[in-house]
Amino acid sequence: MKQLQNKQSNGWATKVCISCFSFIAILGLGFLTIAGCSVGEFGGSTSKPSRGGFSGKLILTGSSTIAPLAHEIGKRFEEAHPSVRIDVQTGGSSRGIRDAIKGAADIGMSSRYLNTDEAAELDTTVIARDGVAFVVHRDNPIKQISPTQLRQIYSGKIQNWSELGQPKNRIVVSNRAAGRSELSLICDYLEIEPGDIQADMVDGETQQSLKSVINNSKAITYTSVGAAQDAVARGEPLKLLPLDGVDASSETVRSGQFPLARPLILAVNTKSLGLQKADLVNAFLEFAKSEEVADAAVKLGFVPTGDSAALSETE
Amino acid sequence: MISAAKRDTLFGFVIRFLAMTSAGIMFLVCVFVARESWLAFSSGDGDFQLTNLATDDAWNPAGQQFNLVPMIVGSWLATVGSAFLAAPLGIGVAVFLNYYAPRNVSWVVRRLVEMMAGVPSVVYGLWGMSVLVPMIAMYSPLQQGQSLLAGILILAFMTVPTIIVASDAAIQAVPASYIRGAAALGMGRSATIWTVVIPAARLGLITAVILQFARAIGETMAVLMVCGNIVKTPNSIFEPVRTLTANIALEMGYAGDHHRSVLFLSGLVGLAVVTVFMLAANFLSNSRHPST
Repeated sequence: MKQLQNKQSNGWATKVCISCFSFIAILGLGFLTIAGCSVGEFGGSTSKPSRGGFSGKLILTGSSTIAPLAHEIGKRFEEAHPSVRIDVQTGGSSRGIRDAIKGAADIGMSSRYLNTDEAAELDTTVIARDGVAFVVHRDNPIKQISPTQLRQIYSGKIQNWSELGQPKNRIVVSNRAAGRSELSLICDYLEIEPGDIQADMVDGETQQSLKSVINNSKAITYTSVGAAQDAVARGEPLKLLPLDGVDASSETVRSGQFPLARPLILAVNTKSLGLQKADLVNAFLEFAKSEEVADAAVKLGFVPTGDSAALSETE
Repeated sequence: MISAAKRDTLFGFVIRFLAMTSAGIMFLVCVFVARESWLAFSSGDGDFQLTNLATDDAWNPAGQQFNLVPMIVGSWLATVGSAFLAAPLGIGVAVFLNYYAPRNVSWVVRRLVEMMAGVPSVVYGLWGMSVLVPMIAMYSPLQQGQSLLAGILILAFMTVPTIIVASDAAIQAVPASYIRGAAALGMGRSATIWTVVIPAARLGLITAVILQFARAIGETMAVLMVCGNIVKTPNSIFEPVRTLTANIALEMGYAGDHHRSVLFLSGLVGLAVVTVFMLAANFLSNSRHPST
């Protein structure tokens, strides 16, 4: 016991030194990691020729709706062409279009149609469509709902189903988290600001919003047509409401009849691309609308629009 | 052959290294969050101030409005509410385990509690979403189950095991001589518990509640699934709330540059709230602790 105490007091100073050293070492390691990350962001933007296949780097910027799909397509494209790097950045459709026109990005991602000025500068490819349906419980007797009624429901002016000629029940309104593509889509459609929506709950993921309606026959939500259709096919007690007399389904979204839908567009400024880059971009666009990536679009709740062969496969 | 003393020194180094590592990681996390938060003041339209978090009209990131107050209140209400339910329940169970339960019953209950403590929070969330929320919807005047009440109940269920385990340990640490002394004075079981055991274990019991508090205020997933997530200070227990943590989880994936850095800032605010609470609780329990 006595010896132990002696040892402790003798070695104390050294131990403190070593402790400090290890602490500094860890801090150093941490900063190296951070530094390493930021170097990685800027490195490797030059294209290097390699034997066979494509090489170089493609930069995609724009819509955060398309970004997850573009990211998945990019990953698969990189697997097929190991010396290609696909860099996907978000910042909104307008930024994507602007970047593509200026040449700051190779491909701009836009989840809205281009206006005439923009369309004059860019070539567009629709890789999928994104449709959003309003969903209620199967036990809800409502058959039809108009955009005006939906606007009144979502702005809090109608709060009871009885005002729509249904049995007297409070309308439990489910909204989606800020930044979700579904939110911006219905806001455009209903001509309402996200800040003006009066909801009773905010759901994050698609499945959570469906669950809110499954569990509450007085609730209404909106979600991707594909996901809602899947849930109905699984036997969940849900009902997709038609809009303007058009049923909500993948078919009507694809055909463009369903009003609450938008295209997922990849826009390219062919004039500003170099010859070698143009080949790579075209290969990527072909890949993005091919059958090989249709399942990725379906998984994200989108309706793929590529070749008709691909469509029949996914249905 | 290494001498015992050398081995001891070596062990000391390893232990110190591990302690420094965990402290260092914690420090780096704080530095990172602070760095990301700092961008809130430089990105966006440039006139963002710390006071905006309290003075803006609402939480509307698309409209550059970032009022965090309803969410701080939401976090606070859900946590305090769950503490009011979980603390008496947990301490009660711990007392029962030590002084009332037969040995085999307490063995089974202790194993169950350990298991409960290990259930992932998202599982509690799923249960809350499928069972608790529809149940509340049947009785709620608002006809919806996603509410502050659902959040409080879920948090209480989740954190009761924490309180039981910690207060069980605190009660077991009460010296047997105290109990024997009480028995020698002819005190009954309940009197011994109220006047001897609980005062003697007080420090450990307070620590148990602090641990519960920390877990409840940091909980994200389960709360996000049952609380309704409306950014509004609730007027009743049946109204939905959004907590600070749920807000970050909901919006981070879709946030642009400025919005993202404000979310980091709100994380920092949450960290500050917890730190202040911890310091206050420590100060409180230390100052009341009789010296020797």
